Amino acid sequence: MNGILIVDKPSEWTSFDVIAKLRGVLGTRKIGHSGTLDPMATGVLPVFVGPAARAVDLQTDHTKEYIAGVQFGLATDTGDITGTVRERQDTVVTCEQLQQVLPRFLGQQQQLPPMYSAIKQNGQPLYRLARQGITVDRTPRAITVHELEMVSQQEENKFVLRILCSKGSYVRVLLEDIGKALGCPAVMYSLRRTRAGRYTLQNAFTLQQIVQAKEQGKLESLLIGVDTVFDTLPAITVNDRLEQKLKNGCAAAFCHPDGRVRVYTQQKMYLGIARVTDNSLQVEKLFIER
Amino acid sequence: MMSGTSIALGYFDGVHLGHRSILKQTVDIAKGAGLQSAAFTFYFDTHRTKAPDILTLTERKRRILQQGVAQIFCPSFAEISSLSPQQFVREFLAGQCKAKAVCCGENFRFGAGGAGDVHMLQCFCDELGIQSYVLPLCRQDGLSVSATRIRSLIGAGEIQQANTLLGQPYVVDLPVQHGKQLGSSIGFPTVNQIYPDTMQQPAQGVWRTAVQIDGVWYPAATGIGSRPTVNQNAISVTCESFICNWQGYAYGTSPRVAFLEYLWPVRRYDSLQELQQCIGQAAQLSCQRFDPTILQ
Repeated sequence: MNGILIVDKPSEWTSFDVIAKLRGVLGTRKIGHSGTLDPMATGVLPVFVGPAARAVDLQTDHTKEYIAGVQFGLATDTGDITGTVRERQDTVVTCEQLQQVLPRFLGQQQQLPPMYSAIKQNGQPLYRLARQGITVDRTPRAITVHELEMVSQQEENKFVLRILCSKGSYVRVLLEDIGKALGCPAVMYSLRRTRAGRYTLQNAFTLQQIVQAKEQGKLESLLIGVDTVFDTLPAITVNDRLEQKLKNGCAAAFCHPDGRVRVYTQQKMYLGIARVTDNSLQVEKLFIER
Repeated sequence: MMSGTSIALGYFDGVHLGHRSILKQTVDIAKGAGLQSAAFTFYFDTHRTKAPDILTLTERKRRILQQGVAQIFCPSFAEISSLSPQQFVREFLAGQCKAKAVCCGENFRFGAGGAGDVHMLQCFCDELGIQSYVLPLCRQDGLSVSATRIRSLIGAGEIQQANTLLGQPYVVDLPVQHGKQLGSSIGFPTVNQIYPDTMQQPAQGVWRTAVQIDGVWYPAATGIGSRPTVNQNAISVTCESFICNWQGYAYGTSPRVAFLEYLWPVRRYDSLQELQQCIGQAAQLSCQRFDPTILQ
């Protein structure tokens, strides 16, 4: 198996539970993922299988989009409703009040990562300390909120927001900060990731669908080619002789403007990425099964 | 009586609020200058370079015409993709479409490889004596109205906001498939359509919808689900609608289905039959909340 599988992560599973399950279903241990989701969250979880796993760190688009439910008047230790209630306040936040405050959270900003996160400090993930009731100093991180809109109101004090943000943004912290701007506690009651990089819900399959596809022998049809990670690069085709030279790590003469390229064989199979310098082509990374 | 055209330029997928302001401007210019109003769009017959479509081509054209535009120029992507930006303006807009005025959004791209932008458009138009009007991106709730934003909302089930940005309810008109009607096995008939993967798929689960048959709108309940396929792909996304107070044959037609409210997501262990039981409950809600005045 070689490619990218976009999983619609189920609720109440950690991202690692999903990877563990997929190791069994896909029959390989070689699986990488791109951006974990909290157990409570659902949505786009890109999983890179086999040789494609080498492309996880080569992605250029790390933008994330979420549909999040926020409840005002309540705060928990974890920032989402799975946690213990820490604060209650008798307030009513109106639609207009929320709309007025949202623009303040657009653009580049500093965000303090939560104690309940997998961020490592001195080798330990912070959540381990958090579970012991310990709070430590954290360094704020630069994030960008590209788009932020109120999509609907569900009930009194419960609103659904759409957030388009940079990698490393914590939605529950953003929601708590919005609460602070409104003068009240806030908690995230739902989270669905609708986009991770260039992959959206449209590309995603539930675990049930993945298992069903395996039973029908159609797993391969769910995979997206790893070449999609590089589709901003120009594509070139090489013949068998060139293909062999590249696989051996040799440079080959190739007439093309300087820059990185996606390499395909004459049989339209994707080999990997290479670089052209002064009409000389050299492989940077191969994504084929050996 | 061809005095020339005033053409709106774009792809116009969704025909959303931003597109509508461009189309309205084009119609106003036409009236003021005694020109024929028109819109340019295109379709992909083979290789596709865009994200999934929100609307089918027929629905897109229908909505463009509803904005008051008299004529649509709609070549295939293959017919125009090799024209250079200059050729697109000279040969296609001036030559074929007889453009005397053009109107587009500030992010409009054209010509091979999308090399042409609004600055180049204005230059080439000036050379040919064609008036050009470039409109800034339309904004709603502080954000620009875009097809990307609307696609996300539809895919996530946030249809009220999507419909606001679209200017009218989201509608699909796909051909009705024959056979494999699981609906008939549990006692009520359903109309079955398949979403191609070139189109944006709504969130899976049960929806309150309305369906138009022979010009009449009926309240309906629709299940969006996935089904194993007989071809090499593992999954196809199906749109199965139960139409209230209607009996008849829909096979061979493409009834318009308007999506109004996302009721229930598919639960983890839903079988297709459980989904269809939910459709019965959804149908009752649909009848109660039916308001034909919002449907066009």
